[in-house]
Amino acid sequence: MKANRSIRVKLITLYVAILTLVFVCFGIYIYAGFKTYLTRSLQQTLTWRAQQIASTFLQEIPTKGEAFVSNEIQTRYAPELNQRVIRIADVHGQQVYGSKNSDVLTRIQPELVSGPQVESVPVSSQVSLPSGERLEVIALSRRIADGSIYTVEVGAPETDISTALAGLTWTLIFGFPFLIGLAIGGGYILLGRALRPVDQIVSAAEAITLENLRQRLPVSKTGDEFERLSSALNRMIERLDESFQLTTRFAADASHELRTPLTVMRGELESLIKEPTLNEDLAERIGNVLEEAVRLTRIIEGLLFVSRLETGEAQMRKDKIDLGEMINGIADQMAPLADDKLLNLCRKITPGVLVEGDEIRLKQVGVNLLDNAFKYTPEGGQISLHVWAESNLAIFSISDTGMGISERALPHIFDRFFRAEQARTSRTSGTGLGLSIVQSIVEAHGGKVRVESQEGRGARFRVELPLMKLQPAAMMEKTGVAV
Amino acid sequence: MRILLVEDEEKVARFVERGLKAELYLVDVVADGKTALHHLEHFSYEVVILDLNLPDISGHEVLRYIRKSNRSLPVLILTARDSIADKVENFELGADDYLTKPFSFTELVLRVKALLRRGQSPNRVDVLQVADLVLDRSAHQVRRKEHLIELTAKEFALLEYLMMNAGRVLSRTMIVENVWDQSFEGLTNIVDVYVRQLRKKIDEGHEVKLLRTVRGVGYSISEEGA
Repeated sequence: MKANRSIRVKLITLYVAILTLVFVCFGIYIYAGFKTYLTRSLQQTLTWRAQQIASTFLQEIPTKGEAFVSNEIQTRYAPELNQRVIRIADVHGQQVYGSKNSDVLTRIQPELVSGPQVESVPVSSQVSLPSGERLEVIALSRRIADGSIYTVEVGAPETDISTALAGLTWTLIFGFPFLIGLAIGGGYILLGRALRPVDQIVSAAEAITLENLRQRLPVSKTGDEFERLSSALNRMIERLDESFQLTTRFAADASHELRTPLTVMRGELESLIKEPTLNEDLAERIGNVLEEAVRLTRIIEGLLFVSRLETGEAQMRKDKIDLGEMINGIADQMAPLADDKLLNLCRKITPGVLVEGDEIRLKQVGVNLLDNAFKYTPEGGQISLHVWAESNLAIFSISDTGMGISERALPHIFDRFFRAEQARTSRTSGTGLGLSIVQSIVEAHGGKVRVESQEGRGARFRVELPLMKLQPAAMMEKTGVAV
Repeated sequence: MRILLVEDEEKVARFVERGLKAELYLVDVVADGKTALHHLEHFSYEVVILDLNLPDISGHEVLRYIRKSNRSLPVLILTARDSIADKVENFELGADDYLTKPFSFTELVLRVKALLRRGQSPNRVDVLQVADLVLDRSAHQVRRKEHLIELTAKEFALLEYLMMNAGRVLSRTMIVENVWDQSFEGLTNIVDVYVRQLRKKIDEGHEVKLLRTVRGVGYSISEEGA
C-alpha cells in the first residue's frame, strides 16, 4: 500500500515538474514571439505612414512652402491625437516639420545610396519620452524631384505592446496553477486506477506461504505490464514450489533410504546380542553400537517429523485440552527424574486454561522442555512451571536455574542440530532436534515459543498458544462455576 | 504356527526369518507379490508379515487380495513410511497391525504373538509370576517372598509390562510407548529412573536379582536373573 502510494506520488511529482518546465518554456517562447510580432507590426505601420508622408508631402515643399506642408500634416494626421510623433528635416538636419515631443527623436538620417534610388531603407530605433514612455521610431530619407533630400521620422509609443504583453503574462500566470491542479488531480485518479492490479498482486502474494505454495497470483488477461509481472511472479513461485518439494522429497527419500539399512543393522545386532556364547565385553560393545543405531533411527524420525510439520503435511488432531492439567500430568510422571537429581520442581498452575490441539504433540512439547530443564540444571537446582492465560493467549513457561544459554547461542537454539557449547560438552545423548520439534509443534498450533536466558543464571522457555474460544454456553457455565 | 513373510529386502528377510525360527515358528519367505499370492492360494498361514514396497505388485494389492479371500487372516504391515495418511490407509485396507522400519525385533515378535492370540478366547491371567515375585493384577498387589511391596501406579504398570513379557529383553522405546505414551518418545532416561526405583523395591535385599539390564537393548525380568 505504502509502496503503491509512493509510486503514485513519485510519478505525479515527476510529471508535474516536467509539465512546469514545458509550461515555462512555452510561456517564454510565446511571450517573446508575441512581443516580436507586435513590435514588427508597429514598425510596419510606422513605415507605411512615413512612406505615405514622404511620397505625399515632400514633393510639395519646394512649390508650396514648409508652412503649408506643416499645416497639411498637422490636419491630416493630427499626431498629438493619434499619439504619433512626426518630424521632417532636410539633409542638414534643419527641421521642416515637428510635432509635439519631436525633439526627442533620434535624428538618424538614413543614407541614400547614390544613383537612381529615390527612397532609403527604413531604419528603426527606440527613444524615451521625458515621461519615460518608450517610443518606436522609423526614419526614412527621400530624394525629391529637385534633388534635395529630406528625412521623415515617425514615432509611436510602445504602450499598446506592453499592455498586450501584460495581458498575456497574467493569462499565463493564472492559467498555470489551474493546469497543474488539473494535472495532479487527473494523474492521481488515473495512476490509482492503473496501479490497482499491484494491490491485488500484493495481497495475493502475501497470502502465499510455505503451506500453500500451490496457490498462484491472479493474472488479468490485459496484455499489459501487470499481466507480465504476475505471470513472472507465478513462474517464480512455481520454481520455488518445485525446489521446495524437491527438498521435502529429499528429506523423505533420504530417511526412507536410510531405513532399510538401519533395519538390518538393528535386527542383526539385536540377534547378535542374544547369543548365549557372547562374552560380556563383546556384548557391551555390540550394545553400544545398537544404542547408536537406535539413536540414528530417532534422528531420522525427528528430522522427517519436523519437515512434515513445516510443510504442513502432518495432520494435527483438534482435541480440547486443559493446558494446566496436561502440564501437571507430565510433571507428575517426570517427577522421579527431578527427584533423581535432587531438583526442586515447583508449579504454579491456573486451572481451566483451554487450548485446542493435538494432545500427543503438545505433551511432547512439555516433555521435551522439561527434559531439557532437567538435563541442564545441576543437582539441587530449581525448576518452576507456570501455566496461565493472558488476554487471548494460553501460556506455559518453564524456568530453571541451570547453566543458561550464551547470548551468542540464543538465536540458534531452535535450529536443527544446533547445540550450544555447554550442551555439547555435557553428557547428552539426544538427537539435536528436541527444540526444533518443540518449535515446529508450537508453530503448527499457531503459537510461539520464546526463550530468555543469561549465561550461568538459568533459562526461561515460554510457550504461547492461542487460547481456545469458549462457546457462549460453556462460558456461562464457567462463570457460573467461578461464582 | 506358520507365518508368511513377504519382504523383498533380502537382509531384512534373513534376520526376521532367523529370529522367528528361533521362536519356533515355521516361516515361509517370499520376495515378491506374485509369489506371495501364489503361496497364499496354496498354503494356509496363521499370520502374514507384509512389506509394502514390493518389486512387482504392491503390498497394498496383496493386502486387498488377502481381505477378499480370507477375512480373518491377521496381517502385520512393515513399511518404511510412517506418515499418518499411510497409517490410516493401511488400516482402512484391513491391516491388523503396523510397524515402521527400523523396528525392534522383540517388538515384532510381541506383535506377532498378539495377533496369534487374537482369535483365541482371552486368557488374561490375573496373576503373573517370575520366580518368587508375584504380581496380582486384580488385587493390584506385588509380593516377593510373601512380602508386600508398595509400588506407585507407574511402577506397577512398568513391572506388569516386564512380567507379561518375562524372559524377553524389552527396549526402552518399547517400554516408553507401552507404559507411558507416544509423547514421551525419546525420553528413555525416564525408563532408567523408574527401573532403578523398581529395582530398589523388588531386588534390594534379595540374593537373586530378577530385573536385568541388557546393555544397548533394554531391560528384562527373568528367573535366571542377572
